[in-house]
Amino acid sequence: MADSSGSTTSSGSSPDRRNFLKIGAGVVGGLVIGAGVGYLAKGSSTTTTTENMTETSTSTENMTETSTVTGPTTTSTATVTGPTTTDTVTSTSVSTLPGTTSTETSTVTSTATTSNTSQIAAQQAELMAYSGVADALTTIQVNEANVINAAANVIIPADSNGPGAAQAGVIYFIDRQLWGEYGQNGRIYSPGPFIQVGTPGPLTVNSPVGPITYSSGTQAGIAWGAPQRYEYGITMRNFWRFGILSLQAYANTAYGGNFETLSAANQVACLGDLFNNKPTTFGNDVSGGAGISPVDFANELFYMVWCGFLMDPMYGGNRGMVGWKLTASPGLNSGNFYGEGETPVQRATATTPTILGPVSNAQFQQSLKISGVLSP
Amino acid sequence: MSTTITHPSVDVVIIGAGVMGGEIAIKLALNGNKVVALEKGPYWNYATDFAISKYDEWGAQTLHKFDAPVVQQTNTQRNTSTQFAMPLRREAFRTALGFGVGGAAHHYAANYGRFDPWTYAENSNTVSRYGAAYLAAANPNNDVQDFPFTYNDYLPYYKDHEQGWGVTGPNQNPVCPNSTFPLPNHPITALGMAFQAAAESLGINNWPNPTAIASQPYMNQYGVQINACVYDGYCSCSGYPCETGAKAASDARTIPPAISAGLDLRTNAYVYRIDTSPTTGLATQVRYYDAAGNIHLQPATAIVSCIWGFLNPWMMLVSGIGAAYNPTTVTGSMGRGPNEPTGAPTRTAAGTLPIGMNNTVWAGNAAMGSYSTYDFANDNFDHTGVAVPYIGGTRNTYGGTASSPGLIAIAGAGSAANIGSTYKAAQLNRTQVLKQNVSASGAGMQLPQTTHYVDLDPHYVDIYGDPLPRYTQDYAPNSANASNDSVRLWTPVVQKMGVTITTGAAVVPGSTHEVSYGIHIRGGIRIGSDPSLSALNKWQQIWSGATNVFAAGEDTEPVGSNEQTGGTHPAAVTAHAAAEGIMMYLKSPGPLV
Repeated sequence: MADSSGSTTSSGSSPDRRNFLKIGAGVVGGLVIGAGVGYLAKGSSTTTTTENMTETSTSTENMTETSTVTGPTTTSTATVTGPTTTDTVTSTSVSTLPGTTSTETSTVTSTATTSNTSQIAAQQAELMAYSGVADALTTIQVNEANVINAAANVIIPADSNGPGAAQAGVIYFIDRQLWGEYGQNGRIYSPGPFIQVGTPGPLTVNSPVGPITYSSGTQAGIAWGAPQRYEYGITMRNFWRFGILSLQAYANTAYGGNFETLSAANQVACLGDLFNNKPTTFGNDVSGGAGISPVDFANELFYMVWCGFLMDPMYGGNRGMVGWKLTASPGLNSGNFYGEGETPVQRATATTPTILGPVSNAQFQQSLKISGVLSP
Repeated sequence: MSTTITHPSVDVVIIGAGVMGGEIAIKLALNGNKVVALEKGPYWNYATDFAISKYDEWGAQTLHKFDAPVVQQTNTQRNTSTQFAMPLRREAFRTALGFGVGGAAHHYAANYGRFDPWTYAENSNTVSRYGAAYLAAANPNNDVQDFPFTYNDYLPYYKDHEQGWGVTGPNQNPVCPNSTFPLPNHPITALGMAFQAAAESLGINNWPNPTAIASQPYMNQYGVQINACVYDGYCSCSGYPCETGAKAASDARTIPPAISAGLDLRTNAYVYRIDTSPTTGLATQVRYYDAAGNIHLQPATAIVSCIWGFLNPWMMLVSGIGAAYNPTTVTGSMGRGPNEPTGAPTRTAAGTLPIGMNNTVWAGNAAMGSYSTYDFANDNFDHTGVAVPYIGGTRNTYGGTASSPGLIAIAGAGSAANIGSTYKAAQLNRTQVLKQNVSASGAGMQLPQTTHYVDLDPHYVDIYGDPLPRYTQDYAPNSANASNDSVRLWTPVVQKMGVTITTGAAVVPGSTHEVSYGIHIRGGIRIGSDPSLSALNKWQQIWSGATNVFAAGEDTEPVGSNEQTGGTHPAAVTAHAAAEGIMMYLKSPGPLV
């Protein structure tokens, strides 16, 4: 019958995550978070961010901040003040695409729209803490990074609710994804024919047994992100490449300049046009007939910016877990990582559960190493 | 250069080592049969594959790194036979099919209710109570069939499987007569308690939701020691495996003891064909690719296909086994009658309850903490007075902690209006808001129709050059009508819980088209009592010709059901029937019916 000790396991490691976390909660002081741990071996520069794990902490980042992690809300008191409202992201990129080899450094500057200057200054300090280290881009070229950073900055701007997507380093998240399996269609079914959603009938398609006519065309109303919605015979890397080229061309035609040079209002309007599937010629001239639809590219851009903002920092974005601080996502904290004292069951069943501070996968692993569950 | 390797013949080949494959493997191995199980994915190592890397929303839930890769094989889908079927190109919740030993049970929510007795004779029960005209009106092109066995016939299999699986649940649940689950319920969430209290005060029957997640350390009848759930929250039904083995999957319940009893398990073995004899019609062997691309031939006396979803009928269709369904003449049974019970259109009356957190607490497990009632489901109320005919109803469950981090909502949120600070502000503290979203609705029952079927796509092929399965299905009026009516039934309960609700617009039958389906497919290779209507007989055996071929899975179920997420459990029970059928066949080859 049931073994009440709960000590047996077939997996070879202690199964009780609570034990891990009890031990982890005793850790005080800086745990090293490797941003993009999976990619450090690939010749990129190393980003090391130090975060504190105590309940009330004074951070060691290059800003002055007092934060309270536990309790119903996370409060930040910024003591850095300054008149500037300019976010700066500096990136260095070595492009490896055929025919375009270059090494460049560029600076993207955009203007935040909020009036809360002290908070923006604090966020700037945070930006320097998290993005000040010059990460190399592996895949995205500098001229592409300019567009992506500018778009990220209007999709999730820095404002009174905290840092935005640019400060969170979403460019690195997107870069790592386009470098890897995601960008190379490693998990996308790629054979043709390629026929878009909502294609009206009658539609005739060749097959090994001859042409077949479908009077009703294809299904309509399928949102981007649905499994059907990638009807392009190109890699995701090239989808982004062609999409950015087309966006840049449209920005020049319709708004009189490169996207990154437009005012924030015009950048929003330009992306809004894409969501409304303008212009009709988008992608046709550069994608070798793939004919990227503007709304598809806008959706992918929006989606990946948000993913970079909210996914674990090990993927390069969400630096300082600023995305999780916005949404109050606990990440891997299921109850007692910072000594909150709740078990996962208490937390799952409570009428008023504690709001938890976030924990990244790297922090979790580090706690396992300190507790001896993992070898250092 | 690939080579072809021929293996010595065995008694039985099992295609797929998931829930069904494991269930059949342990029974046959303990019976002394020589059995080979061929699994297209790996044998996951819980410590190195799951313990840390599962805490990865991007990899597990979005890229589906633990799921079957669509680059190897996917399917196409459409709503009607006059549409061109588009392939599912990207990994998504929908494509989260089984991959590796344990199969799809590595990422199910593990809700584990039984089908109730009514469901087993859904067609004849409806006709006898309301008349054939009522059923025809409720479900145009009706193709619902009864199971070939009754609930009581399957009862011993239910008990055996629940013991092997370590199922939690309430004893003597009247919806599942004679149920005695081996493990106690999980803790109940605040929302579950709120529903329970409201239901009690209104005299509505309610029970804690059965789950296939161990609530205590447990040893099953095969001697497998099972760990208890650690309630870590990363347990949703769309990507997170369980690193402790508390959530039931065959590699934590049935496959290890089967190997001890002599099972020959081969992983990274992608079966692509069942060969048949041109003279006898019997199956002779299966063909599979290994990871290096070599072709293996594995002869066997009997073969059982236990692949996920519509891949069972696909395997038969590419192998020329059974009569392919023809939707024009409504003849043939292979590929006939699929239906998919999740995500049907719902009319929702919704509000919030200021307790607990919304469904992203990141603690608990995917199936715990819920109370359900079936008073408005199946045939547990009189349908005679309903405004528009429908059968079944809606089950509703309150209190489950889905633990989804919520990125899925953002995936479809791209729009001009959502650029900028307003949408960002809407995400503030989104995952830990102290309120519960509560709705007075449910998804109505999807039913088999003669216009829905699985066949071979004429345009798209898998990585090995075989045609993809093509799935034709749309929402049927029954689900919309049931959902619309459910608001009337559920509103008093939700109001009693203290929720102020706003009722949404009614669903118009035919206005909503299913865009993504298959995750809980039923039908396609149905069991039944009539060879013209079912592909398999009651022992899950091909009726004629290749009578040494069997199949098991949710796709053998011939009905719709309100046990919306629990199709795995009844399917595992029918897998026991297949195991028994195979044993009978080995003793005395030939048609068992």
